Amino acid sequence: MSTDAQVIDGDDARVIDVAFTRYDGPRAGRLQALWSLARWSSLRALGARRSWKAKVIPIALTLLAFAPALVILGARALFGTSSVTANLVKGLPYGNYAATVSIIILVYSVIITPELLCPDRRDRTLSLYFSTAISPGDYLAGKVLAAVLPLLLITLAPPLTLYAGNMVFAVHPLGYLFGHDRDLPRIVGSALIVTTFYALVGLAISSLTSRRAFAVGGYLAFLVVPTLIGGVLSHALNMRFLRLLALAPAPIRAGQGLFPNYSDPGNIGPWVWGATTVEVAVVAIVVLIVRYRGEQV
Amino acid sequence: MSDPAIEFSGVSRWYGDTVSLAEVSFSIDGGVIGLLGHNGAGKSTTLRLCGGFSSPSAGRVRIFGVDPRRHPDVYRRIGIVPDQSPPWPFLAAREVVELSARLHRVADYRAAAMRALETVDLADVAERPVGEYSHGMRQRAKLAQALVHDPDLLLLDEPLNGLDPAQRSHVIEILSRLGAEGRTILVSSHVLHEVERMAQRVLVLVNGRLVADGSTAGIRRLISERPRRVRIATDGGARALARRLLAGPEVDSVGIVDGQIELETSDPSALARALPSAAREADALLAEVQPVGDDLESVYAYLHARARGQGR
Amino acid sequence: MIGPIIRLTLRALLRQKRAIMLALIALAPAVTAGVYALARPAGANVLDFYSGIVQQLFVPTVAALIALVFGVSAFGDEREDGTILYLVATPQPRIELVIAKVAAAWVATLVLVVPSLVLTAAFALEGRLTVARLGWPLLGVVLATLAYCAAASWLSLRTRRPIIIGIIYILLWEGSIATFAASAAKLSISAYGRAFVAHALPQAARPVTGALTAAVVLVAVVAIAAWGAARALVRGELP
Repeated sequence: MSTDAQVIDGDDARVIDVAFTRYDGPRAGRLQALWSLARWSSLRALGARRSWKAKVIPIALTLLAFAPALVILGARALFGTSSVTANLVKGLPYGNYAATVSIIILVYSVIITPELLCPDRRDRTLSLYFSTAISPGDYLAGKVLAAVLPLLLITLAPPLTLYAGNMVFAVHPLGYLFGHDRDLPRIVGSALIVTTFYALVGLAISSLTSRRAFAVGGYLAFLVVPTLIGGVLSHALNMRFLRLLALAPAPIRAGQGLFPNYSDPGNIGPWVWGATTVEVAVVAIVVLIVRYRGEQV
Repeated sequence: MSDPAIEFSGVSRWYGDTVSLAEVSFSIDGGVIGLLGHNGAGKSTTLRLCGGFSSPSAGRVRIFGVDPRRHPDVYRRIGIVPDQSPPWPFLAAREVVELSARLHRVADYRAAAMRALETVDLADVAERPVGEYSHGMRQRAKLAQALVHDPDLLLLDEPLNGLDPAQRSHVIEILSRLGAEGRTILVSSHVLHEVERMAQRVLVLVNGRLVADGSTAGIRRLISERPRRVRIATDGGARALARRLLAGPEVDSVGIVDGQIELETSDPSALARALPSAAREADALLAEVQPVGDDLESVYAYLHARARGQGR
Repeated sequence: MIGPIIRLTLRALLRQKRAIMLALIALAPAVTAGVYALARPAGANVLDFYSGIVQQLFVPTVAALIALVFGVSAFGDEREDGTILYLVATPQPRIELVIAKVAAAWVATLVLVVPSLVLTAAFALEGRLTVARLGWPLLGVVLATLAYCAAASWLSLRTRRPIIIGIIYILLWEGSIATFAASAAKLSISAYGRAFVAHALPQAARPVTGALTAAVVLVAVVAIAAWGAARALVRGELP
């Protein structure tokens, strides 16, 4: 709809009719609708158009995710090439970045994903969405994209920043680029694995409730508690396969498998972690589809 | 002299850049008072300040002479029917009202709860959980929990919402009776003709400011720049009378609607003096002379328009 | 009047699906201990395992999360739907309202957590279970959950995102920063709760302080949080 004002002009007066009229202009299509949903959902989850209090936690967590990269690059900027900076760079290979900030990633996804689905159920605006051109499938796709985009901010942007910084500070930047050209797709690949996993699991659990508090508790219970149980039992019983209960680090281990320096304390191969990651992600997708398949206007 | 039930002294309330109330001052003690205003005028803010759920950004709010936030004991004398749903929906209405009575330190809380439920016609369904009630029943449950401790001051936010006409009449009757007993009842409502039935006095808010305070008739009299409209029914000679009146200085405009004269006058007293002689000269028999637009709805609409800058 | 408010809040906290989810979380350590009891190799050090599960899983995660959710929900549910007005618009002193709510959240937490701890101890220790080996960790859990409930109640009245802030505190501060910075551990409720475990189990990690000091600190946390929550009821904006 548009609000074309209709003006009726007389000799010495005019009347402006501001009644609504039908929209007859070009329509942007489903993809644009999906993108619009994703964009505004993710901005809203990050605190856009809300008070500063809604923004401070996501911003603080984003800065914390960048902190290792900034510390290393800051040291290189200050101290140049030295054994200290060399050790610092060696101490954080790209494959280990996600593991270093794993708690940040977990907390960040706990904050973002319930915001994407729970308010729509709680405020009963789902039917409003489905009365437009958006189908339940489009809605889910938009929300998954809305979850992935902010998460990429802390899974992809920091290691890319570190990569870019290392290249700039290298003696021969182009040489660094050509020498580490395979690291770039690995960084992107591992970030996508981690991001997609956390996005899907968070959304699946959030889809089960309209209350954000429950979604947060359920998400943590699903990821953190088995991880701790797996850690305790595998150590106590010396059964390394029990470490596969650790769902939280599963995608991180799978992503590390893309890098040549992969190592796992329990000698579990990256393909095993990858299979665990995929299984859980598939279950999450099924939960989402089942939850929203029955939604009607 | 005891303290008034509600006293606002230069009260303002703002949230960031939004001013919800601006320098509102009034004092209320006894009777039913209607709190009127458009959406966003500040009615709910006023009730929240009275209830102690918010503090003024400037000015002072006193309930029976004290700040309710710092003297919770005053809540023994206050009953509140907020806009929100009734509390504890998993409890039966009887349990909700009994708990409210106990929280207000009523000695025989069971008997008081039964009386309150009977007053609002919920005694028969008192064992059902409040969460299973219809909207109207929930409103009455809220009213019961507000009345159970026999308060001296009642604060009601849209209490008639969701009630059918018979129930509305019943609630109006209850509130009018309580007001006649000397209690103070502050009612916020959009249903102006019903506020008019029970409220002896109204407070009118527009854009956070108090624009009128008093009885409907009293406010009307004070709006001097607004011409009074009068309808005159005659037994013949209407047109001739209309021509005579239009010629005189007492009348601003005249029209004939359905055979009756409707005129506007800025000087009702002069019109009253001139009307009998004009009727004689026009050979018109006066059947009825009635002011039009003195009802609360018209007064409110005028105040609202004037405060928002229209018609100046 | 504290009694009726406690009963009402307990009913509200324990009657929902949320309680079932939290009960499953509470049972996790007991299930873990049960699996261990079935599968442990001969000569396994049961005290090490028990100490580890209480210190790493029970106190800092399971008990903390459950206490956080109940502590936030005690006031938070009513604040969220606006029905807190009905409680506040009564002549009850604000501190009594806070005490009642915190007590209800604490009792709800203990209903889930205490049986789990008893089962965990029974499964893990079997024949080596003693009063001290159950009693001291129980005391730590009891006091730590009380502190968490009080702090969570205060948070629920002071901020719109109490669960998120609580999660950040538990996972990020207590779970990460406080584990490698000794000074940060002094600001960790679970660290004081774990101090009681160390009193009975020498295998436990070095505590941040002795049991008596830990008890005093936790009680002080409860008192300060309760005072803060009562103040928030007086000065804060209610929906």
